[in-house]
Amino acid sequence: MRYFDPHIHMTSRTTDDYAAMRQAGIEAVIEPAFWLGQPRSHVGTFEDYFRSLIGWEPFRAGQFGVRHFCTLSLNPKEANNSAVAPGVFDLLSIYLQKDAVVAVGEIGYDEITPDEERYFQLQLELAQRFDLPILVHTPHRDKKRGTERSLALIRAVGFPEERALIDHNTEETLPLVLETGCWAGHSIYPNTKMDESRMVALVKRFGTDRIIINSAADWGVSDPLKVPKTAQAMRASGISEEDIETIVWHNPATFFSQSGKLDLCTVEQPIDQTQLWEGNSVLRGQAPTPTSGALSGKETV
Amino acid sequence: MISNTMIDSEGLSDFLTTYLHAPMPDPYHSYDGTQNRAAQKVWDEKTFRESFTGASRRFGQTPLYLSDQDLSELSRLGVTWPLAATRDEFGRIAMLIAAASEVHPAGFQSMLQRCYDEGDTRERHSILRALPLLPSAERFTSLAFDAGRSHLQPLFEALVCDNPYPSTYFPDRPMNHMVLKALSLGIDLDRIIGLERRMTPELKRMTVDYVAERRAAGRSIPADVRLLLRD
Ligand SMILES: [Zn+2]
Repeated sequence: MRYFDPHIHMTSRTTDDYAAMRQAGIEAVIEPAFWLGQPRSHVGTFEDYFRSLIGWEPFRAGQFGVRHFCTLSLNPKEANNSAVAPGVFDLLSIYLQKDAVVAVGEIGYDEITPDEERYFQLQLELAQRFDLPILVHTPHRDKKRGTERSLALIRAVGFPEERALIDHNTEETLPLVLETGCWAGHSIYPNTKMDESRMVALVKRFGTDRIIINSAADWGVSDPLKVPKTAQAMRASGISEEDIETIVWHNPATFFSQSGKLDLCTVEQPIDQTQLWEGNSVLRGQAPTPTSGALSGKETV
Repeated sequence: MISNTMIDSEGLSDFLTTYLHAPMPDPYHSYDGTQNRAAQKVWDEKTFRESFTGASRRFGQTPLYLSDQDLSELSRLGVTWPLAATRDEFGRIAMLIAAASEVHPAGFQSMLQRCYDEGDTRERHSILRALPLLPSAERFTSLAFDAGRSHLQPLFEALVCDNPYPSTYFPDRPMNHMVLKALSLGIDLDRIIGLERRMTPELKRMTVDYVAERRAAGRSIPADVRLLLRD
């Protein structure tokens, strides 16, 4: 089965991870811009991070046959850092337009501060202006309250609910999300958030409609194979292949296709770089297809 | 030696625009607060950068289909190599040629650098393809050296393959390093335009050393080394 991990921070992962992910069937990933564990003190650090998410990381992923997209934002934690927040927000009108950017995110609440709320709302407006869906982070502490307030703000702004993915859900927050038109993400992350067996129970209780799972793997103790591992747990508990495929492929593909920029076909058929110019034997200029490199065994310099 | 004085920029700009058959973005901000149709318009860098980024959607990413007639027209205008592969690339090249003729040279140079720095791989690719067509193209060598150092192979190839820029403007050291890197990446050296004019004893020595290093390590020798070793 092919898998889609729609929330994973590959910048923090190694080439061994990419090889293992592709081996396990992961063909596409989305890397949301989030915080890097240590606070940033310059707007330029964010800009270089954005540039790496739209160019370098997709190339790295492509070497292993994995299609890489991203979501960009001023994240909720660093929305509280007034030294960088306005400058980072200003970058978004250029960077959100890049081909690789399939949503605005992660946005939302962390400690539920006024600054977080202000930038959450401003970025909802940006998402509408650039016609992008949104990926909403929900807090670790006071999660239920944070989720309720996120849903309320989305509704108050009039943001279309079917274009909002509320992430890191638990048993307590999932029913709240499904009552709205929003989609529900679940991060299968060791020791915190959600685990495989609890996820199986949620699917048995709530079905597959608007349900998405991800690994949220990052720089912490986490596992980039959690999507295929959770699919395996679903299989072992008797959930049908069709339902599993809905959750691990069709749902994330459908949700992020709303950006109009989720081009999944290059995963399945890499562009042939040796194609000829029409009616002429001269080689065409190379289209930027991140397919060559490590997989072909070529040496890099 | 190829030089961009042989490029008919205006003719090329017309050709690209006609081929794309799509309206070019308007990089002017109007100060028109009134009904005055002759209101002052000012070229706006941010508007240009946003539309340069948005060119993928404006022009589409589909491949170009160039007839023999198109190719001979391009050749007449001075473009004798495969310039681009897709519509958005043609569009971005046309936008850069137009901007170079409308903006003050120093302003254009810093804006081009900014477009490159903030560009994704497609945008940077288009900039590298446009370099040999821009006026006073020797201004852009530092940007091109950066692409020559890139680990992003599609970017490196945009500079190296079917592009007269390096052999026309690169001094010996970056030229030699670029050729050696292309050799080790398995890139067909025939695609380096003007390589025969840039053969030097130093490049030959570097090639000999490279072959010796590969041999000592028990690794294969790329067949293209013979192009660099012949007299
Ligand atoms: Zn995350």
